[in-house]
Amino acid sequence: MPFDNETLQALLDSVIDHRRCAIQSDESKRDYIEEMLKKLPMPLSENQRLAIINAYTCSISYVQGPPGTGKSHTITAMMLAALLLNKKVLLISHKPAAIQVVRDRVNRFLNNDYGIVVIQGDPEKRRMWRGYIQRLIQEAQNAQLDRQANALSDLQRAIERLENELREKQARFRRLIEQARSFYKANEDFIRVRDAFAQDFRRISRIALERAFSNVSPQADLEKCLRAISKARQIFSRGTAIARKDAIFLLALHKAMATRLGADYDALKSHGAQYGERHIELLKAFFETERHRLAPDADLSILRTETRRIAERIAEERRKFLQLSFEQSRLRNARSHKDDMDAFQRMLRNVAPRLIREKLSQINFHNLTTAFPLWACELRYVSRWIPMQSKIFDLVVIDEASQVNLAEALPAFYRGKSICVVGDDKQLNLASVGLFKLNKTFESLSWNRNFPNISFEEAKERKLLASEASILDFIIAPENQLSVPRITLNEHFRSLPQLAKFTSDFFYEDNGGLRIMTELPEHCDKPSFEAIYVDGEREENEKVVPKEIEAAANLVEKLIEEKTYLSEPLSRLGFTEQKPPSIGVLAFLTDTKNALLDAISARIRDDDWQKHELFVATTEEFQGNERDIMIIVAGLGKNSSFGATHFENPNRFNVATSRAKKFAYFVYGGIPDRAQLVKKYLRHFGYEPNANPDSPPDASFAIRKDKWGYNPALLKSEFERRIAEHLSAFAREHHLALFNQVESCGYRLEFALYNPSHNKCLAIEIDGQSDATRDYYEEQLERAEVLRRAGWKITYIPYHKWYRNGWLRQDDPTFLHEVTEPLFDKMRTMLFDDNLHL
Amino acid sequence: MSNIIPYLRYLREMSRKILMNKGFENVLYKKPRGQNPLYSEYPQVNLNYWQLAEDQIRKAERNGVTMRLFVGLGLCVGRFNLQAARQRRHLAAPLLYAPIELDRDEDSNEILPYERWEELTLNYDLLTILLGNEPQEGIEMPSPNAKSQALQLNTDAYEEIAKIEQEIEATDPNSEPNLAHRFFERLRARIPAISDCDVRESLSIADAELAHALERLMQDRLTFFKHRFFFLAVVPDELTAFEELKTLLDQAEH
Repeated sequence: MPFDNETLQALLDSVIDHRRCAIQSDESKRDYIEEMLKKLPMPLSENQRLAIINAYTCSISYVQGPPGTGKSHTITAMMLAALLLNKKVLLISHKPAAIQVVRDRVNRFLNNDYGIVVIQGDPEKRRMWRGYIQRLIQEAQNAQLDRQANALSDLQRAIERLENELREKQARFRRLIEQARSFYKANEDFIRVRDAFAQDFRRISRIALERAFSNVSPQADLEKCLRAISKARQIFSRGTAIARKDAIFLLALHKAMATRLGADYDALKSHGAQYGERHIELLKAFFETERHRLAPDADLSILRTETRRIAERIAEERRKFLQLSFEQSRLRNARSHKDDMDAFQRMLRNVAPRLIREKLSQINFHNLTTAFPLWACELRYVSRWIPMQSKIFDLVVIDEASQVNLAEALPAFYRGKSICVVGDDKQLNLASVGLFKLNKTFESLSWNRNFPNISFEEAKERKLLASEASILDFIIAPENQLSVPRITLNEHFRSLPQLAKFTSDFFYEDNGGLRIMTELPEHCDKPSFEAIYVDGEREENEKVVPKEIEAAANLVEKLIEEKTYLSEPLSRLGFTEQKPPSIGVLAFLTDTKNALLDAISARIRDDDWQKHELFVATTEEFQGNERDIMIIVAGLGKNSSFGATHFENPNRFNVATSRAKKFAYFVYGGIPDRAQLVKKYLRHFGYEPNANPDSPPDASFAIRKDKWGYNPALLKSEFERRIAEHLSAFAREHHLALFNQVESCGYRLEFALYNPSHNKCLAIEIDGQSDATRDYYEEQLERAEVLRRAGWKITYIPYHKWYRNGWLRQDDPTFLHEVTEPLFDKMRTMLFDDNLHL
Repeated sequence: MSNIIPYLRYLREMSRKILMNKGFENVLYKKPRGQNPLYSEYPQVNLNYWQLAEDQIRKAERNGVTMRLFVGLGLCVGRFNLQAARQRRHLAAPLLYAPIELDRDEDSNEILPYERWEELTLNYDLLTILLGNEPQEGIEMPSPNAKSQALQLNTDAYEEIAKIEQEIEATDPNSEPNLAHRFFERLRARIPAISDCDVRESLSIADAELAHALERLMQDRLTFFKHRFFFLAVVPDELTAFEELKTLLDQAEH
């Protein structure tokens, strides 16, 4: 084995030499890591958890992060988890902004400006780091580590106490919620039996039945009665002539059923055993319901609040624990590895790469990374500041891996025991990103010189070419022998629903689509798209449509100079003069971008560029960036030469159309016949390509109002109808919007209320109701977590309290007051109290 | 037999040839806003040249841009018609270049320049343009025939470049002052588009007048100046990958 790095060796063996090498995976640690992740003071989705577990258990793993799905959040959690798992991590990205986001988040969690080592080119930042390390060494000499250790133990014990308390509450809650589920199912079954009974026999006495329900001994009486009915059937089966003693028996049976079991005497006489049996069935269904009824003092709502409160306290204590243990560990290591830390800070004075290399070689980097386990570095600085030593990190994470070339990535991997590539093979890769202006001939000559046995074409197929294959392509190419575990982050938080839906439907449908976390009532009727057709063509030999440039520059000017973001329709997106929108102008072609830059620079002042974070760039340059308002400039006329592999490369189109957070303009001179994806894009928002610019878009496409509304026809049960009446009245009284059967975050919500004046939305869930087939408790927990992550507040209706003796308690004013008033109070608080953070 | 070693060799070669749109075909004239190329003839410089270079490198670092001082060997300046793209390009770039490190003497704090001749490389951005087949964005080749025509190769030139690459590794630039000119003549013999370009000794101009002089020169056909010169430019990232891949290769080979 030529390398002293097994992971890199296995990667090259399998990809280059086609040797079958299994990804090393330590399954035994999964449970432990899962437990540790629960100690992180931050919410994580199921897939985010799995991605982190893979990173720490598999030698090579891939986290696919579609646009806006929280890659930085996941990487932040990965870094923080390293502290709990006693691991050393190096994050690499070629984008400084990506490093900065993770650094800021990690530091915020650790309450320390120097939580993560980020050595950059800026000499001022290096000077600050030098100062910090000097202070740390000094502080470590005087620190009372024993006292700190005691404080940490106290904190740990407090957390354990809370965890025990939480476990007890959760166990009780699980029992009760499962009982509520059973009650719901049994009661709905009973209602079906009851209603069918009433329909078939047209007679049902609620009073008699209620009396029966409270008098009858379910087992003995009903079985005895069934036996009697069976006997009655035998009597009738012998013929129409009935013996006197049998007649007396039947009379007694009917009387007993009427008086004791609440059966209708006349119906018994008319329908005989058939009625009797159905009546018994009804009683049985009722008793089955009662078997699951929750005790009168069982209050799920209180338990929910209590468990959440304890969980919040635990999260807070865990955050403190993480910060304290981080601080303590740093001081301890600053004492043990003082010389290496000191050498490192002195090395930071240097600029010349040769001197830096010399000084790095004198530092024991294993000691240094023990003291500083979290590192992040721009790709271009890795070779300068991090020595080329094997396995000095447990994990090397490469962000935006689809844009990192092989020549740079492989040496970076050499530094890690495990590799995690984060990126998205559905976004731009090296081949399409155009970062390279590689002369292919140089490459093919070089390839052929080194590989007489593998053709250049085969190398291309196998994603081995430095010019075309990113490190992500290299690792996940199907031709390669590796089977890298992949987790797709599937919760989209960036764009308004209609924008996100295009991304989900057209680019990620085969992954099951994205869970659109912005599907909230507040966004349901917000505008998010406008197509601007300028009917123009490119000038001869140019890749610029002058009319598009003019229209886009005008648009930018109006947005910025005339503040059109304060007028309809953009005013509905929440911009203010104090909080103006960030603006991006995206061009599919570099020439178009240059023309846009010239036109916009001539109109917009420098301070306005900053104020609006104005960014004019190609799709390639936009990858990894986002803006509130995006102006996409196609660079196309109806008669343009149309390079489908460029314009309709799905990865490029995916990136171009997923940058807008709130609103996208699509400015085009015309759509050529061959353009298919562009047409689908326009039609998704209700626009007909090349249609008269004055014709309005089809409103049913443009907004999702059709899916967000209140439709009584969709109410499925008497209970829902009754609740809907109460909620409608409540909504009317408080000027709220009521929705039913709406889809949000991948779930269907029975009811939702929205308060536009406070911009708050509330999901109203019914205890026990669920279509899920899996563990109800787990499903409920996950559902609540997902909805809360998206911004929903949730209140629950105690279904079991609304039913007594088989009927809805709708005419009981005392009950209604007792049940609805607390519910309405809670809803009022959740929808109107701005200080509430439930 | 394992292909890992040849693959690392290939990657190492490519790490220099991957062009990152850093504009190395024009490092002197169309410079990024606010950046001065600090042109000066090699090896004489005025006294505060190194300090100026260091200041500018640090200023760029503060803005997240990595700049470095280079020594250029041979300078191509002028207008060049890129036939495949029907475009005209203005060139002002070295044929070869090597980075220079600015160390400081620990005692006197004096700046000590140090040429990293081991990183001497051909300017592939320039060569790509001279060879005339720059890739085009957003345009598909109209037909397979046209495609093959467009990519028709000047194999002689590429083979010559490959030989030059090997020679660079084995040559000490200090012992051969006319290295760039020798290589240029070999390329000129194989690249028709530059066969008639002028060859002159030196630009002989001060940094302050550079822009004006280049503006004039760039309106003319291509001229090759034989001299060496200092210039400041944004670093192509791959220079670092080249070194690191060498370490991996050494480990694999031994």
